[in-house]
Amino acid sequence: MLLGLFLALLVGLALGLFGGGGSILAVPILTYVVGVPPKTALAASLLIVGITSAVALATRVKSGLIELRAGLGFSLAAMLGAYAGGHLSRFVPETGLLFGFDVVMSFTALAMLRGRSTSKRSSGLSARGLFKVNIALYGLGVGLVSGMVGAGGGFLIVPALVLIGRMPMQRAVATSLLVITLQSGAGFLGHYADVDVPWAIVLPMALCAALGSVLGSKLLGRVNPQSLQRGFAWFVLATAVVMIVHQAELLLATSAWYDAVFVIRWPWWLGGLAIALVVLGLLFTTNTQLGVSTGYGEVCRLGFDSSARRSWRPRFLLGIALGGLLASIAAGHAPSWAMGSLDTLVSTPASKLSLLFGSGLLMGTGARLAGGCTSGHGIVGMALGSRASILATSLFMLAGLLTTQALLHYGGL
Amino acid sequence: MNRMLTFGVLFGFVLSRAGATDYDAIFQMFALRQLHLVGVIATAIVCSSFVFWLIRRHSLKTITGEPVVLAPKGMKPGLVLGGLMFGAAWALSGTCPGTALAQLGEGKFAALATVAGIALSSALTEAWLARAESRRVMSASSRTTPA
Repeated sequence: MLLGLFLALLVGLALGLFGGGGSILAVPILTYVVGVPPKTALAASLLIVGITSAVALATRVKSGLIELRAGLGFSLAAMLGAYAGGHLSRFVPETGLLFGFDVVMSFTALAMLRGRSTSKRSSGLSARGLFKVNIALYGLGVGLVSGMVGAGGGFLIVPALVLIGRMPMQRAVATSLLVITLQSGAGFLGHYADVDVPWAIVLPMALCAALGSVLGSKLLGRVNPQSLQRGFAWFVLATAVVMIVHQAELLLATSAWYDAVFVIRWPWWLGGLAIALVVLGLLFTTNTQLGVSTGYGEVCRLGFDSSARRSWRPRFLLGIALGGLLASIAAGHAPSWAMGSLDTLVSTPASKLSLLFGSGLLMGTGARLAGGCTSGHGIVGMALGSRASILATSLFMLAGLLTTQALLHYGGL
Repeated sequence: MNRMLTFGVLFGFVLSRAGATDYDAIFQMFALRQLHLVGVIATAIVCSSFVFWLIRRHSLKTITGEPVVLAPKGMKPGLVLGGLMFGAAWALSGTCPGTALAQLGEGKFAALATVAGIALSSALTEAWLARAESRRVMSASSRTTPA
């Protein structure tokens, strides 16, 4: 608890200095140091951050740095979002919620690292009409995320105000504090209904954090904000990694580790993370961009095409099948002709196989015409931000959605 | 070159463990009933894009010291038609080219039909595209060289 109080002081310091990052630090401190369960920690962090930023805001009222209109507009949109998010969080499992929080942390760190020398920009705020729409939309989005995961969203607000609103850093921090105060309050009310707030923990921590924020505001004038921002971004990123590792440990603790690894389907975030690791491992060890569909043609040409025989792809494809075999053996699955709900859609084995063969034909042609499949376009291409891949993946998804919805409506599934 | 086999094994194993080889997972995704796979794909994209960004920003090297090559795919004339065909087939077969192989390895024998279909049509389409391309090049060169 004493450590928790000291760390709360640092949380306040961060809020006062950066106009954000309160919840990003407060949630892990409450969960891992003080030992509050995740959902309670999210609600409690909103309260602590709300109180702290209100105090930090009060120290700046006279400075004239607070952009009242932009701040209130943003807050209004963000409060709507945060309230909805607070309610929505009931429908999301806790591990998913915390992982979402990790993602938010990583992205804000990225946004901060990317931030250029913002102090050189002038305040051209009032002249732009589009800004109002942007600020409302962005506010709604930031609010939704922050209400759901309990992050006050300061590290999303500050970049929004700086990048979209072209506000100087100092003003953005002050305005962000206004937004955070209102938004944390709304988010807390959303959570309040289904959480017992541990007041004996929350109040002393809030007091320490408020003290820290006053200190932070005082420090702000003396430190180079650029280097502080960079250092802090890396710190946030490191915290995100530590949290992911911790969640993986929790996952192993809840069920026997063998079952968790080999039998039970991995949670979505772990599956996605593992796929990304394979993509990156292949890239960093062999400088090869992962993609599957091109390999099919090469396998067919193995008999007469020497360049196909030298290619890496046939080996990679063989490996995929072996990997499936290993997974199946480890999970203890018996081989079978069954294919999930496809068996209820078609009546005879022959029609099932011809449907699969036919869609295989369609798929191969489609992949060659489009220049890639789910892996090459969908994952690697999307991650590279290629326009062709974004278009291709949208079309994959659209056609898949239409096909299944048509099957549901007319196929009697 | 056995490294490629190893990465294939890892990829197949991971696809299988993530539930991507499950017919119903894909069916439920397109029926909008269970978005597990959307989460898997989105997480993979987000995590990779972060590292790609790091690679581009800091021009990172591979373990052998070469600069990492990132080559985004370009637009193709058949992209729209191909994309729509692929998507429809993805939903019908409940698998994509990578997971079809993993399914086969898992002992889901019916995936043999899918894999055969993909392989046959890939080879034919490639041959057809190559022929169309060589014709285009030939006609272009006959136009430029004076008779």
